[in-house]
Amino acid sequence: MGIKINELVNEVKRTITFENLFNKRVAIDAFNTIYQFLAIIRQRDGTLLMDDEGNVTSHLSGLFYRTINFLEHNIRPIFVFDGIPSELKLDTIEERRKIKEEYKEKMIKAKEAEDFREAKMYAQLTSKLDKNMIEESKKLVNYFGIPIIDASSEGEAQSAYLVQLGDAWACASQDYDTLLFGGERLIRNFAVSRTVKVRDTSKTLDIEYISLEKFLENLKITREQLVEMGILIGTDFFPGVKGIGQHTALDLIKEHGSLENILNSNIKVRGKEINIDLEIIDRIKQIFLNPDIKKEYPKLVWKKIDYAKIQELLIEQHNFSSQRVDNALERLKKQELSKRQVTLDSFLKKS
Amino acid sequence: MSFSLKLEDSRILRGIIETLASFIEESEFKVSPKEFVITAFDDSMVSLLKFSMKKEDFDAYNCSKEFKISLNLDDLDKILKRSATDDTIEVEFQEREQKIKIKMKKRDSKRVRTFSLSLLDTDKQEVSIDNLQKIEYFVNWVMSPPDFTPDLLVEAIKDAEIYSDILNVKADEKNGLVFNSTGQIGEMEYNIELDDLPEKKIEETEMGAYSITFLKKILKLASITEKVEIFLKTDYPLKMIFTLLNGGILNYFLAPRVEKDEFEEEEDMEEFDEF
Repeated sequence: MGIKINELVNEVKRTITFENLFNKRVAIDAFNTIYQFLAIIRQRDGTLLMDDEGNVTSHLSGLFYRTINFLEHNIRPIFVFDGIPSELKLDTIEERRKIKEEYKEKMIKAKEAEDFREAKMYAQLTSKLDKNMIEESKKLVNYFGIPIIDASSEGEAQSAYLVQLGDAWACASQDYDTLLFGGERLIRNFAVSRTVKVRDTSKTLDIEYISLEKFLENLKITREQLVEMGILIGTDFFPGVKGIGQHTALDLIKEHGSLENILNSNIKVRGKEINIDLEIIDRIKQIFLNPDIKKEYPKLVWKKIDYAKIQELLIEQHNFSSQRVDNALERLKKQELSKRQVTLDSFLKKS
Repeated sequence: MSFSLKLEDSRILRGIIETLASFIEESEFKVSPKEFVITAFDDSMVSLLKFSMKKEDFDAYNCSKEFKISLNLDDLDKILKRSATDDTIEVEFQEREQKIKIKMKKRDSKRVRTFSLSLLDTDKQEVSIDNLQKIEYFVNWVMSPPDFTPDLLVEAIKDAEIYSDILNVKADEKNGLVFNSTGQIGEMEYNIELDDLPEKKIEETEMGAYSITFLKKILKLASITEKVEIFLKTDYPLKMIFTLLNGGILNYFLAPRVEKDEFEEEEDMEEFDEF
């Protein structure tokens, strides 16, 4: 979910490739990524992948292949997991839960009617991430030797902090909220470019790169103003004002300078005066501008890959095809034994 | 303000752009009253290409001040691929139009095909490559016809590729030059003795390991190359200077592959280059 500012971002977003991220550290919004796997990695009728005991394995499959891809391209991932959600987000979470229930019923009906396409569509919208899935995801990431950070609250806020400190080069998430949290560099669609089918037409999903600085510069607003726009448009913490989308929000903020001025100007949208509780505004601004983050976390180290543990988790515990797992791991093993490619940066600086 | 360049043989420009396009998507071209220069890092910053061609090496060259323009290389490559070897190519740029014009004409013919290509915005910071160019090398050799053509290197790489994605190069006073690669199925070695090297300076023992993928890309230039001078230094970039058939020089620097450290490699977090 997150804030909808896709059209405003279009002007400054750039297409990049894995090569641009060579040797770079990327803080990945783990929940966001795993949710995507649960939505995408499904069988033809929309059923999730499962092992012999009926445990869901879509998330593990996604994490396994995606992580190998990162490592093969010499990218250094850091997985950042969400902590306890803010109280304000609970409404959104409850809302989503209700919607998922509805979709689930629709999915069951579609299946009964043998409309598998529709069943799959609804199934994708019902993805739920449970505790066990999170634990197993962490296990797998850990076996790959990749550092994990447990955020105290929002993973995106923590990722943004890592970038501010210089401990990571960029944040990877589908949510533009990362920008509101002050994440200087945002990467979206962080996977090998692939073609996806959207309503019978295919389009390529390229990796997108957005610089917060350039984005704000282009719109000629500050980050605080962006957060105030977020309050108008709607974020995970507040539904926003009906009738105000990204363009209207930008126009209003630019014309009046701040949300406070907007409220004081008695502006009407769709015949109704904009009215937002001041305390809520303050709390949301705090969430984004002064987020709850872990300032101290273990030093980021990428350890050796524990191949045996990965095989045990995937093949023995979850019935993955041993041939496919082994083949994929073989590629990494080969690379690990091989010499490391350095870049020219260090030679440019040496005098 | 404007500039215009003319080449009666399209091969050099076509070859350079084809090679560049295999490394990066877009690049900046610097056209000054004296020369035409393209400097580009590949996306991963593993290698650097610097192509320069002097005013005198063009068949016509008009430029009164320095221009910097950025172009999409894939598109430029597509356009240039439409030229025949004996086509005359003219590149024109008018500052008020945000595009270049490329004209192709058969020699002794009046029919002209004109292509235009829009410029891209340049927001890339210029990176100084002085330090790279200042590196002192104690081993270098020249590959030139008739007996020691650059194609020999192409062959060595094809041999090596059977075994690995890394080519090991070693030079010393006793054995001369040794190319080798090892893999699970076996290994290959290609030895060129000192006496067999027509032009060389081998004062030290130097060795390095280099990515075959990158070497293959740059050696596509072999067909339009007159000679290559190669500089080798342990743990330093491999440097290659290509002298192209109709003049024009391409400097290529390729960062080495090094042994892995036990745990984590040293890292410089200042290396935050913008795209």
